[in-house]
Amino acid sequence: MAEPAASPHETIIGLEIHVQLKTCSKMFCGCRVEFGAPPNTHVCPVCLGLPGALPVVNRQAIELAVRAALALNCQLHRSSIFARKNYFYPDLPKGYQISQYDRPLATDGRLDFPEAKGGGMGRVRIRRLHVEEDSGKSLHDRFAAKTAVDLNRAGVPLVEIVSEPDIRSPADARAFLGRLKRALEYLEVSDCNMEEGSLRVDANVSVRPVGSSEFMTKTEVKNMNSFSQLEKALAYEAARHLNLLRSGDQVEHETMLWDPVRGEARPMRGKEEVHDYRYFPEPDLPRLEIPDETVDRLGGCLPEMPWQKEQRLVDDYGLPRYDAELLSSSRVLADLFEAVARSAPDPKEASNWVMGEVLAAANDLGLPVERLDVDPEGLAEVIGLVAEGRLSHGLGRQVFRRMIETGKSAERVMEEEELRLAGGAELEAWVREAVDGNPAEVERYRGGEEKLLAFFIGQVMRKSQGKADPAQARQALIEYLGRS
Amino acid sequence: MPGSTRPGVRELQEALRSRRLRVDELLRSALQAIAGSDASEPPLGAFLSVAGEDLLTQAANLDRALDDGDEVGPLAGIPVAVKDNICTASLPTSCGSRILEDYVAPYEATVVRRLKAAGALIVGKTNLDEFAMGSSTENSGFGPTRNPLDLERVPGGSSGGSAAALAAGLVPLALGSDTGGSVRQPASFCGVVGLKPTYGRVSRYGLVAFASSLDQIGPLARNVEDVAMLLSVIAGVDRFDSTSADLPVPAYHDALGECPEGLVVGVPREYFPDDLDPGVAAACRGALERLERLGAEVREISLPHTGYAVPAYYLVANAEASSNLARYDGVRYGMRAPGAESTIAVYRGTRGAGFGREVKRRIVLGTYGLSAGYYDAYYGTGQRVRSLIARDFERAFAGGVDVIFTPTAPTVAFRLGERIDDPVAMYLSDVFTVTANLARLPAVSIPVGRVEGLPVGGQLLARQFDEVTLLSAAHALERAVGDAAGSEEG
Amino acid sequence: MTIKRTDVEKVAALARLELDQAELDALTGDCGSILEFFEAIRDVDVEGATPAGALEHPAPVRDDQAEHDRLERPVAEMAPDWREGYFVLPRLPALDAESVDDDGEA
Ligand SMILES: [Mg+2]
Ligand SMILES: [Zn+2]
Repeated sequence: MAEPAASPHETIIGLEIHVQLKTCSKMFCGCRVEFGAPPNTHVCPVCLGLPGALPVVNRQAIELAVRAALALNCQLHRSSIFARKNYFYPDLPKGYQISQYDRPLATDGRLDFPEAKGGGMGRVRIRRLHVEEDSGKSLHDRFAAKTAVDLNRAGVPLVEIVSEPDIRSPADARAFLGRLKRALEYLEVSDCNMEEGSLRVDANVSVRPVGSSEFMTKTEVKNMNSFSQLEKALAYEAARHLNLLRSGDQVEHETMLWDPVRGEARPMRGKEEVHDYRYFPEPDLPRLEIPDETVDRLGGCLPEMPWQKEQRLVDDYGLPRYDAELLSSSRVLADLFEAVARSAPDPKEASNWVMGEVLAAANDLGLPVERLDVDPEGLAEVIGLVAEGRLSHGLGRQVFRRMIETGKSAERVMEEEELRLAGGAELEAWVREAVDGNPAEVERYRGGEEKLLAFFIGQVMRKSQGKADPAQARQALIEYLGRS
Repeated sequence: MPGSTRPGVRELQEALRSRRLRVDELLRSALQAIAGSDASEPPLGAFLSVAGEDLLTQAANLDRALDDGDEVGPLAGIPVAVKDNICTASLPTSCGSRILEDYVAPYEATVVRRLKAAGALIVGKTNLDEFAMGSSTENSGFGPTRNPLDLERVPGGSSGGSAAALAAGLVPLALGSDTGGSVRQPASFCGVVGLKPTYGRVSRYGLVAFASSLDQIGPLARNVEDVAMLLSVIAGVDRFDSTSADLPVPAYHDALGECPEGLVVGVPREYFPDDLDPGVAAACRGALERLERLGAEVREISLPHTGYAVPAYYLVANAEASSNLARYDGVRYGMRAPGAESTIAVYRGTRGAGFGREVKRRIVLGTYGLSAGYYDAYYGTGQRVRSLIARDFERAFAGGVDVIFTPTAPTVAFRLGERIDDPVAMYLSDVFTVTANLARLPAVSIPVGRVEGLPVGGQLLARQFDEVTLLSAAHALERAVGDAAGSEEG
Repeated sequence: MTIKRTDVEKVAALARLELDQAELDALTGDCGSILEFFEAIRDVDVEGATPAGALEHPAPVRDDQAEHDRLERPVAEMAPDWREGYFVLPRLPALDAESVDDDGEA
């Protein structure tokens, strides 16, 4: 394998991604799925691997996997087969993992992603997507010279997504994974939380001279628990391969363990045998069939991807990129925006209100947006009233907040709580108080410090508790101050 | 026949309902008989554990209900023995293995829940070949069961404890499990009736798996009607077993009547080879004559792949077993090898010390047959031949045959130790029974005669889920054989 | 096709079975004669035969509800070694594979 010493090389990366599905219960039993529960409290005969216990498939897990497969443009196999992957490990209670092997749920997909450099789009082909169960957790540092096993995670539903080796740089690996994560979060397939382990990534890495179509010996890198660690680990490993090749050495086919603290990958030791998983069809489960109804329902309502939505918000509503990106980060937010924009006078105003007042209300009340029960038409009405000058912005905000809290219409809130712009005598009285109560400022204003007008407006707003319209107040103040 | 003079379940039910017999009495006499069977030398060894005080409380509650004329379940007060590879929460479930010595399951098998709901009393857990791997009950980690008809002979296996308990008159009903003949062959050796239902007819939830695609729980009793009654209680779909079939469950015991009109009985020539034990052959031919006399049409058929059934069976069963038995690792339950200082030592030591020789053979062969490079030649071929065997049966049934009649086993009960060192000879005990498991058919063994005092079993097989035709034909044959035996003796 | 002593050794390692020399010898002999007996199956023409296995009905599915089969006894009671809520077993880093928090595979 004589390489020209400094010929340009490219990095070849393929990813194997495990994603925990967002279900209430486990893949094959009714145990609750909960991160961080006391050890071995969400266990039953099935997920403990007790003699005689049998698996039963969770419908929701399958539907989430189907949704992921459709989103990745996969060929969905309406009939697939569960298989046993046999190996011994303390946190694998049955001595085998129920997975899928030669007849997976889906194959031959693809996902396009914005390349890290150059602003173009890259494409990664998806080799397969299958359903399987998670293992438990082995803790090696809990007790000295012991392994402690917690089976709460054993049996949690996963999809495994295997890409073709189509990625050409660590930065692209990160960009691709980012897009995948965004899609799966958006489809509510998974939380995709790398720290909590609901998204886990292994990578296959090799390098080869640019222009070659041959694949060189690859290594598998494991244990990256954040996007930046993934990028660092891949860059480290690619550089290691390149050094070996340039010095005329061989890359050995092995599994490398990334150490985020030291920033290096080490070969895994203690492997006394090559893996022989002895896959065979799981006899405890008949074939998995996806009914027409499921495909119609999930395929029909499969939402546009977040990046598609982002572009549409820019194109159709004329929103700035920033607004479009923020709104399309969650389905709830984007749907709310579109519903509000439908009846609001101006999309940008609708965007401002959703990103501003709606998120602020959610934050103040400690509730997710979907539980705020925002009536989009009511919010649009408030925006309209503000635009027409019938409510000040501050008053509009108050009205909106009370609408959320009481569930009443804008009209009723304004009626019952007297949240209306005041004019005429009321306004005159506040103006008079503001001016007469601050003789020193009046003196300075009249002496030429015209910016003090803002101070007087503020005084009027405070005295009116927001019911004064700032524009009207300004007009009235100029008149009153100019009078004497 | 020793069994036939003892009361059947229907008579016991009548006695209990009329209060001529109390549940408490019936239970105490069963417990006493069980204790007695192991007190003699050599011990019968039918039971691995026996129920205690809490069962007497249950009996008292049932007596009170019966006294008051309350509605009770269909098996109220009837003692039932359960094979020790079926999980019970109040008795240990050892599977006859040292690796599960003292293991008490924290949940109950669906069949056990159904038995309890029907008012049955689970009096104890019966002995078996370790993890149901064997045909003589000599492979138990806790000593063999003996055949009550001749204590120097085996009761068959692996449900030898259940069959022996029935033959010895200790209980009227028992559950076994049948992966390759483990209910039918011991029923044959002990002169009782044993049914392997269609795969999926009875829930496997709580049956400790040996070979998941072949295992099925089956009832044993001293007559066909009792077997039918027990099947009616345990059969039916179970949401905990994805392989159980969602089909209606007939009241099997009510469906038993005369010999089904125009019954066509197929007799496969491959099941009557030249070297078949002549006594067994004669008893079977006699049974066929009786069926003809009842109006059945007896027709010779061919099931051409029969000769490959035993290898196909073991290739499939061992592979599944090697995976099913991986969970016994000493981590979560059961035995752990003492003194192990590493994880790998826990695994190797526990499994090395906990499993017996036959189990190790099968794990080695099953692991080998699934390993890289061997899958197609072993497991793959086994499954392919399996489908050919199933097709043989489909053709026979499509050709108008309603039931198929064969000997249950090629010999009567053999002597203890006779085949223990010759695994192939032992495997051949199941030559006529493995096909029903491979093809997922229902099959029943009933006594059809005797050779030198030892019972011979005849096997009937039927279409999938047609236990009604199967049991009706068995019932008719049972009466014909019984009448004949009666008239010969009288 | 027959099985050699080294095959049995390899398979026993894969199946985590500790065997002493005598056992290994005996098993090699047993398994050899059993495999020889199985060889009869090679006479069958399996061309075109599909592997058996598929049941009539597809896998039933259950609703995604957190309700499981109750344990009638605490897990701790059946565990050979139990500490602070965990199943515990000895570990020797020199012998036991390094772990990765992925599929649980090391
Ligand atoms: Mg996986
Ligand atoms: Zn569970």
